[in-house]
Amino acid sequence: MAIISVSNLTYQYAQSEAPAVNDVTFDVEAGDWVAIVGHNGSGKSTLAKLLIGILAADSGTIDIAGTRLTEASVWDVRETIGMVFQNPDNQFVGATVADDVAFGMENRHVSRDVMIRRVKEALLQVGMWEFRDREPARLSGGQKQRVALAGVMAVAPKILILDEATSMLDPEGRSDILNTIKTLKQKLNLTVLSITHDIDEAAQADRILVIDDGRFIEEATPQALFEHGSDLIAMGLDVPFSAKLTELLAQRGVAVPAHYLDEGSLADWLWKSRLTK
Amino acid sequence: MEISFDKVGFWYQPGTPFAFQALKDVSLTIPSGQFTAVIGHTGSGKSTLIQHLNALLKPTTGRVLIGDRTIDAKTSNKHLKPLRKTVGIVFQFPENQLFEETVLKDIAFGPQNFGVTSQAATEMAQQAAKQVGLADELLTRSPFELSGGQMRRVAIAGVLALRPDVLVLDEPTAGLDPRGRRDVMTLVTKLQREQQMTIVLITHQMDDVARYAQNVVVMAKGAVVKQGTPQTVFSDANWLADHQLALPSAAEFAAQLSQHGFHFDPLPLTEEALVAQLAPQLPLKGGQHNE
Ligand SMILES: Nc1ncnc2c1ncn2[C@@H]1O[C@H](COP(=O)(O)OP(=O)(O)OP(=O)(O)O)[C@@H](O)[C@H]1O
Ligand SMILES: Nc1ncnc2c1ncn2[C@@H]1O[C@H](COP(=O)(O)OP(=O)(O)OP(=O)(O)O)[C@@H](O)[C@H]1O
Ligand SMILES: [Mg+2]
Ligand SMILES: [Mg+2]
Repeated sequence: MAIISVSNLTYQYAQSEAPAVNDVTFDVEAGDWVAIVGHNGSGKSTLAKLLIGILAADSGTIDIAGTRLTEASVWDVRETIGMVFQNPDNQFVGATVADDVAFGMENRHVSRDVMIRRVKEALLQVGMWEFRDREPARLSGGQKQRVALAGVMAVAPKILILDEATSMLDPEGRSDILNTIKTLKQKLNLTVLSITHDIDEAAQADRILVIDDGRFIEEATPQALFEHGSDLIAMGLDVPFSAKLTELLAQRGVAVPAHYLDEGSLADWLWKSRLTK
Repeated sequence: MEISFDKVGFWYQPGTPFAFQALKDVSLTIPSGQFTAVIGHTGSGKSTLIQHLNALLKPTTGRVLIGDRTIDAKTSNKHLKPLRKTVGIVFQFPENQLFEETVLKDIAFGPQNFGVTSQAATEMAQQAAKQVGLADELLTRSPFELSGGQMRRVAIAGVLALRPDVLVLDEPTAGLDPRGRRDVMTLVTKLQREQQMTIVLITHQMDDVARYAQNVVVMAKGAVVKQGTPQTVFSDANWLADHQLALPSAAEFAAQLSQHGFHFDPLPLTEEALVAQLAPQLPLKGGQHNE
């Protein structure tokens, strides 16, 4: 059964002329990693806020783990979801980093011993344990993002929604964090919804949903979506490095394969073709 | 305008149990009219460093020379205002920079604050909004009723409208879609090339560093650990690996191909440079041979 089931969802901000989310329908199976991509202002964050009930839809329905999202059920539903917001400053509530990470567990009937252990585990996982007594506001941008991630990892919710949660991490930091989330996902059968402009993060997903002006315009595996080459830019994603390279090689008269190759396959192809020269 | 750091040390909350040294003995020069990139891991001191460029933060020890002004621990907060126009900073979290009633007023605030008439400021704001790709219909909205990427564009436009001599951008493309990212990078390069604006960019995008920067400053744990052109900084593979720094994608891929018989010299840093060296090592279409 789908853990997230959204049907004909529409939402329009009071002052605006067009819906920010427009008749959106999709399902996510438990344990899936789904990336949501789209250009700036296409409705990604609005959709995320609808899913956790910060905004209430004008029409359409949302079912989370079998429960219909309503005003009455919103608090129960939120217990199954952990969300990292686009700006971590909007998320901090604790006076110290450790308090902040613990906060999410306080309403979830977690015993104190377990709580202390999980705070430590989560902070170690994101490399922020040594900062546990610091004020969250007095951290660097990337450190804030790490603490925000630790906060949801400690809760180990069924569903994790990441709204550009790694946008300020350095490349190694980002891939470490993505690997950590991947491991958690496998261990706990987490469902991950990641909103991102980063091609490497999108490539981790099982499926990518493309949103454009509030509507879903495409759904595909990363491999299939990356076939779009330079059209990806209009979808709010960059062109994969291997696709850029293939195109430039073609312009120089090299007989490149017609299909999208990821970096590993392109390297293999290049070694083989060099031998035929 | 040239800015240089002379043995700068900086402590957050000095004299408290939380005192933390975020800059250590930093000496460097940001050359006038050039494009300088600042890179380094999370928490290495990049944002702290650039807030010294217009005296938002003052060195605890050492001094910063901004054009003909000297800033040190004793510099009074008076008379710093002109610096805020000469050196414009786009901060890492743009939301924290917005406050006006409408997007247009927000962007026009800077020039107006520095004595430009309201009409001229509005025109400057409209131009800046166009430069960063903000649609006209957004200009009358509240800046808080925007998406993350739209807010970032407003923050960038607000600083561009000041027409500073030195433009400092702290991860300006985080949260921008790829088109926005490319537009901002193209715009910034154009300002540097055509108007000799000095550009300082903090970024984690090594591909952008390779493509646009003339100088690179590498920070680690509050210290400057390397300075040089992208070619020098990225050519030292062992040093980079020791500091866990990434290569630009093209250089990384070239390094991988080198282990399988391909040859590159110098190390290509952009896709174009990579392909220029790679194509002659491959057979051409229809069985033609290169060379
Ligand atoms: N509080 C608000 N009031 C009115 N309109 C809003 C508000 N927040 C967002 N919008 C508008 O709704 C649309 C969708 O915004 P949303 O934040 O969902 O976009 P997004 O896809 O997350 O974009 P980004 O990639 O820039 O974060 C945009 O056109 C935006 O201007
Ligand atoms: N207001 C503050 N009070 C105390 N310490 C701070 C404050 N701001 C930053 N720091 C600390 O100073 C160090 C440098 O922070 P800075 O923000 O300069 O890093 P950065 O290189 O910009 O990192 P990032 O890439 O994550 O943005 C970090 O360890 C951070 O925790
Ligand atoms: Mg958003
Ligand atoms: Mg920073």
